[in-house]
Amino acid sequence: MTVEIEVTPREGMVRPAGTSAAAHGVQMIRAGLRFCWPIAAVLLLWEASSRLGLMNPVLMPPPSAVVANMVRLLHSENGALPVLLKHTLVSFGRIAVGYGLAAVICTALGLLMGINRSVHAFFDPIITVMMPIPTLAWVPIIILWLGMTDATIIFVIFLAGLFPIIYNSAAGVRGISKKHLWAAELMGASHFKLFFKVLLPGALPSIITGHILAVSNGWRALVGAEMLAGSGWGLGYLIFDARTFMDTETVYGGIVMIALLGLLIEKGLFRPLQRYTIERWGTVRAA
Amino acid sequence: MTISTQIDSSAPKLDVIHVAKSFRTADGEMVHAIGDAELKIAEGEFAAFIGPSGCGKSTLLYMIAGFEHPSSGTVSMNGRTVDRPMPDRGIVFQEYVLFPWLTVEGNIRFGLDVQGRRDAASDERVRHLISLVGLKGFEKAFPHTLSGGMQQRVAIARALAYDPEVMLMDEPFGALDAQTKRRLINDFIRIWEDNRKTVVFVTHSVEEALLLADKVYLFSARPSRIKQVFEVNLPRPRDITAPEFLEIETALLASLDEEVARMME
Ligand SMILES: Nc1ncnc2c1ncn2[C@@H]1O[C@H](COP(=O)(O)OP(=O)(O)O)[C@@H](O)[C@H]1O
Ligand SMILES: [Mg+2]
Repeated sequence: MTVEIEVTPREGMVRPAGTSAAAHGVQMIRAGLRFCWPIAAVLLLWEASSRLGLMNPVLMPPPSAVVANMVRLLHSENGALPVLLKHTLVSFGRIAVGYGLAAVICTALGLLMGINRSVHAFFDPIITVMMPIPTLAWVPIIILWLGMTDATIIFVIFLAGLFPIIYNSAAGVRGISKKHLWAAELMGASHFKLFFKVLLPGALPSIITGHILAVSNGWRALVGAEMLAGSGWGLGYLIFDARTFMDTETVYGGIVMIALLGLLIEKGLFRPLQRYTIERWGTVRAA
Repeated sequence: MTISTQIDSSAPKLDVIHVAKSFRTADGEMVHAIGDAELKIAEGEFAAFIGPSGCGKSTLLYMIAGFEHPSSGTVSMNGRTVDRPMPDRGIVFQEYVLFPWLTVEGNIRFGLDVQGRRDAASDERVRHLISLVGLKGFEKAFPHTLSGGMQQRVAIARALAYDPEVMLMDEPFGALDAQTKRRLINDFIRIWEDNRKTVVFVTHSVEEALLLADKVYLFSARPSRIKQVFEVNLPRPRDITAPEFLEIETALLASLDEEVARMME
């Protein structure tokens, strides 16, 4: 009673089979070089013009001096946490808490908005009105509420993540085709299974987009909030504080740390997540 | 008349009784898609719906599935009114509608999984279906890496996997190129002859309808009714050049053309 059907390879896989690990390594190095060489070129040019006196060495110190200064700031004095590392960790911790809260609360609210019409009808106008307001515009008010504290800065980061996460999570659910939901229901999926087996994975591409935006907005807001409400620590505070002493090497050092950390979060957290999910599924939307 | 909740074995498998369906469009106008549809489909029958585009074939299929509800009239299955989607039916859409986050195997076993049927017998069933539709070796592939024809094979296996009583198919081969389509039709005839499920198959291709169906239900222009039913008493696989085939094809085409012309008005 078996009727077996053969399928020619032509009808089959469209993508080539996996390449070897060695070839993959070479590819990674190539990609790394492609990414780094323009940056290296600009830095070299900068170094040369600064040393040749074509640029003011106080306003534009040579990259080598910035790096030397960073090394000094990263050097531990009698066992204490190096200054630059402490500023970085404080900023990182604030991001982690602020974004973490937004990730949990706002993803849930966004999904709920995507699922429930009335919830959507209520929150959508509010979000539409609030979304274009730059997060930093809230800082003075939040300082009045919470003072010049960590809580203020964390709340600002939370706010920076709130709208992109809610908006994109809701849009992700609403973008799932009716027919996918129909098919799942017809096959016997309960509401519970529909949520975990269809809505959540279906909305994931959009959810990830929301989270990437939340973190990059969060970074921006963090630095601003630390400048306005910084209580002695954090990269934003460091940059602002160093400026008052014309310590531009430290200002640039802070900027470099911010860039490196942003890159680390993007490449270390979101890229692997994307690669493991939406790229494997072919549901990435062309940016 | 009695209203029974028992399965009535004398009732037709599917009974569409005076069904009408109107939609309100976004700008507030009413579209009367189905005027008065009346038809009975027997157990084990391969039924094809054909008619001009926009006459309500998909709409009627979706009402049989329980996705949409009639504006008036009833659809019943085994003598019971259809009011919601239930796994005694399976669906195949033209656009495949696979779950991109599941592998071929994950898609096929979706129905069994959500129904909590995860045992040796269901594993065996999934394995059997994978070879039945010609997907051996592709179990772990994700849908987007497959061609359209292969994706539709997955969708057919997904609908068969939990063994529904009725297969609902909305132009399942409509998006495929001619060659792939021909192969899938032949393969599907063999699969169907193996299980003889009741099938409702929407198509816009007269040839496809006559190659597959026991009865072809021709829809009139909107607001539609069933204009004519063509019985195709020819053994499968059918020969599209046989005089008997050509005879029905000519009659069906002529009647369909009238409705297409009326739809254009
Ligand atoms: N959800 C809907 N809202 C408004 N109009 C619809 C909807 N679904 C179908 N229609 C209209 O009903 C008619 C029948 O549609 P359909 O059943 O898809 O036709 P067919 O499958 O025969 O081509 C069409 O005019 C279509 O525009
Ligand atoms: Mg249709």
